[in-house]
Amino acid sequence: MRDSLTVMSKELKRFWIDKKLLFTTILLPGIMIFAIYFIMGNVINDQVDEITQSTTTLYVENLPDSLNPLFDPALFQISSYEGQDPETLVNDSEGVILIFEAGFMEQLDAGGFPEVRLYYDGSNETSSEGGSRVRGILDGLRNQILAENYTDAERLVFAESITAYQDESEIFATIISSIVPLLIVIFIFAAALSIAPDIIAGEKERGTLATLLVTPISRSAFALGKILAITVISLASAFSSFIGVALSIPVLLQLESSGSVNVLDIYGLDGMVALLLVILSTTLIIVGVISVVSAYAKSIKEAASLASPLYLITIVVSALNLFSDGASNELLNAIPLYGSIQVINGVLAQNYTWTSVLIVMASSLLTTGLLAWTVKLMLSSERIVFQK
Amino acid sequence: MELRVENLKKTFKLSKKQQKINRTDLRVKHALKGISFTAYSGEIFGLLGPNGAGKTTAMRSISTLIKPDTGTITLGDFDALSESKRMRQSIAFLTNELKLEDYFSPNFLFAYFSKLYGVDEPTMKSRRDTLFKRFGIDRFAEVKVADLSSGMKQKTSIAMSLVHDPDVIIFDEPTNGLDVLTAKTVLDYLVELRETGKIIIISTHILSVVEKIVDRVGIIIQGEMKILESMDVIRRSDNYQDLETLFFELVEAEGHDA
Repeated sequence: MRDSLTVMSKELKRFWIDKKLLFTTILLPGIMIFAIYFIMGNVINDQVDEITQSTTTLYVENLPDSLNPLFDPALFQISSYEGQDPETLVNDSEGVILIFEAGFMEQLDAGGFPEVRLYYDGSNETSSEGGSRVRGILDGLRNQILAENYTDAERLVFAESITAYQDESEIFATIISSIVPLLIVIFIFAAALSIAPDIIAGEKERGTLATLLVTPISRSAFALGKILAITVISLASAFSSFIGVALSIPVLLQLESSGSVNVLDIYGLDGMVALLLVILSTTLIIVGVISVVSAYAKSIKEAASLASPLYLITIVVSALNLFSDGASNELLNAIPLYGSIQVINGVLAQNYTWTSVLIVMASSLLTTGLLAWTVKLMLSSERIVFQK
Repeated sequence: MELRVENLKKTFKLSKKQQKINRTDLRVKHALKGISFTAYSGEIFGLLGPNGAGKTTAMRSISTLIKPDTGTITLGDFDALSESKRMRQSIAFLTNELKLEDYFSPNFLFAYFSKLYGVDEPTMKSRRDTLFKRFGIDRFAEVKVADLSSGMKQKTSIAMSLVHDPDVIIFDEPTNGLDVLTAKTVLDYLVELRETGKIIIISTHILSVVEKIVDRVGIIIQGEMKILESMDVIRRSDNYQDLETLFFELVEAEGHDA
């Protein structure tokens, strides 16, 4: 036991004197988790507020005048329903259809059992919120009539037919746009992190970097060659992971027609091209950042250790998108990584513009250029190349 | 052709850790304090000195891996410091800290370095055949570096450093860690290269190697060139008993650990 304690105390001392390791292992996780939950909490609250305060477009047929005051104009914008296909109408307008049987109030007064039909899009947050509001109003109406006219509290008063459309493609798009940007970034980062330290810091550790630097090749060409190699491998790895996710999500969500959910049908060729371009841009930034860290580090182990906090920061930025469907201001897409994730999210939620894609690409290429230039400067630094 | 090094000075900032290691409060280390020497075509110049004397800094400066604070380095008619790419094209620099990647074979690495030096394919093949045969690398040309012995690795490293047929060859401890036979092969080859008119600079702690093949010698101690003399003069001079005695006398006079 004494020997074990001696060994343990030596390991703890080694951990304690390595301030970087101490920070990344002990302090950073707590700080990051607090930051993630703090930011996520605020984002969720903002989004809930936005939905609950939105106005529902309500298409009505045979709405009795006496019931009109139940629909607060601040929450409902009432239009008349003109016999359109209900599913198409609620899908396109994000609204709700409410159809009262002709002579609804008269039938109630006569002790009849009239019907009211409600249609909304269950896979759309705005329409779904509108449907809930209307159901709440109908419940209130039922209770009021029961209290005024009947002693049988179980009496149904009127028939309520509710149709909540569930568009599987929309559900697929909503869920995929929420989690896939996060997964893509994690996959790319993990892939880059598994190879970049070896490709750059490993050259230093093995003593092969100086061998290459005495050749006539320029530092810029050397840095670019390294970054391109890491990019290609990271992309291949991320692509493989992405395919796995895309294939497994329909099964995971147990969509009724999972076999027929075709990603190309949902997003179209232009959506897939936009997605590919933005993923490529994102990969370049991540690879650039890890390359800078790897060029600075003395060894593979140090590079991996230094990149860990960046990994966590990237995950936090990505996690913010779980509750977003694309940046509201296109200029925000110019923020490296944040913009990439916003646009990936937007493409997957089918809510993007080519301007935003181009902004992300331009911003990413510029950032990657700066990072490659930084790697070049670092490889020109005697202190960094020869540090032991 | 000649390689002229004049008044080369180089200082390094010391980190707190380095200050602790060097037991000094000084924030900078004067690695080179204005050394000058000339190495000529068709000679082997020996650079000697104890650890930390400044030999590696001098060789790194000549090979353009680091920039001196002041001083000039010229090779023939051009300034090596302002034309670093041309300089790198003209020199071979081999030190113990320069390693080859374990995953690749000598064949692959020779082709790879040839491309980096801009050597065309036919020339590359011709040089590869000559060098591989000379060092016996052809026997393990397709074996990964990781599976080679230290002698095989050193031979491969030497061959790689010569892919571009450089005018100047700088070898730091060329026989370090080699068995007697391999060391002899390397030294014999350096003598052969001297005959072809190359400028050869070697740094070594093995004074018998210096006695055997070096034409002129420079002894650096604490960043200063203390002796710059031909071996013939040292051997004949009444002032010097022999190289080894001279070396230890200089080192002790400076209070340096050899």
